[in-house]
Amino acid sequence: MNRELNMEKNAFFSVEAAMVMPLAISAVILAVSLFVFQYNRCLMEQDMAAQTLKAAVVEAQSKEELAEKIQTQTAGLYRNKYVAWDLMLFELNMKKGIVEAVGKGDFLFPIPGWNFWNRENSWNARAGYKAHRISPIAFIRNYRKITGGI
Amino acid sequence: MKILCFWLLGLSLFDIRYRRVPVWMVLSGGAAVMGNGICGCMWGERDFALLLSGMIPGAVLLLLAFGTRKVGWVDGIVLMLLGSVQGFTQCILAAMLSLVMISVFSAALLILKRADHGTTIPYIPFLTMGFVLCRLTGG
Repeated sequence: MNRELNMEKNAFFSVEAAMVMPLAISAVILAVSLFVFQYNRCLMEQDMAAQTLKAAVVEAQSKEELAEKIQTQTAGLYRNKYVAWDLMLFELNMKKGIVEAVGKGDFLFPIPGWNFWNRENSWNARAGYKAHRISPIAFIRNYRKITGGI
Repeated sequence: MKILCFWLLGLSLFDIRYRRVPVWMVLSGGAAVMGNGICGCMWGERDFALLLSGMIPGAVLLLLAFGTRKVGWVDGIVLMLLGSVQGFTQCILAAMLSLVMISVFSAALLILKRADHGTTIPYIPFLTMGFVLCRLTGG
């Protein structure tokens, strides 16, 4: 036991490794960060599109009921699927029958001071979608347009 | 944190002198760091997942050490222990700082023709500097 404790183990870098390793690790971190960023951006785009479509087809008797349903839908968005992502803005608005979803997120770069593209240590992305709410009148008009008034 | 610095300084001195460090020194530091981490988790002061994630950079270095034989494996263990104390982001920052410093130092040695590609350089002193810089700048 004593003999094992008194043993000495290697603790060095060869010059070759010292030159190559920072470059290799930086490249890997950059690649992983880009992949994670892209994953989060795609998710956010999909979420915004899905939320817009859902809000466009939701059924309600009054404006108040519609606003409440949209609000409930917004609050119910599952956010835990995002990785290292701060969903800073998520708004779902409706004006004159047009539903608009806007989202903005920040990806925190793992190494402080290494983000050359942005002064802040984060990469951000924004996504926005618009859709017309389906009303019975608009639906009948569209149907008549397609079928030629039959 | 001062104890950790003294432990790293002690390891650095051995590393600079012999390019090797005594096992008892690594084990004693490791037992203290792991004991502290496990107690912190048991009392709810620290998160076990964060403790483990902080060890990832060290584990990668350890794998590289076994795979390439161009790196001593104690460096990986020391980085793992540091990571379990500091957390993932700080550990990555300290490791990257130390790697940049050792790379600049190696380049200088190569330019001055004081070393060839097989020459060995102690890594723990650079890791200590990275750790201290990381602490001083607040990560």
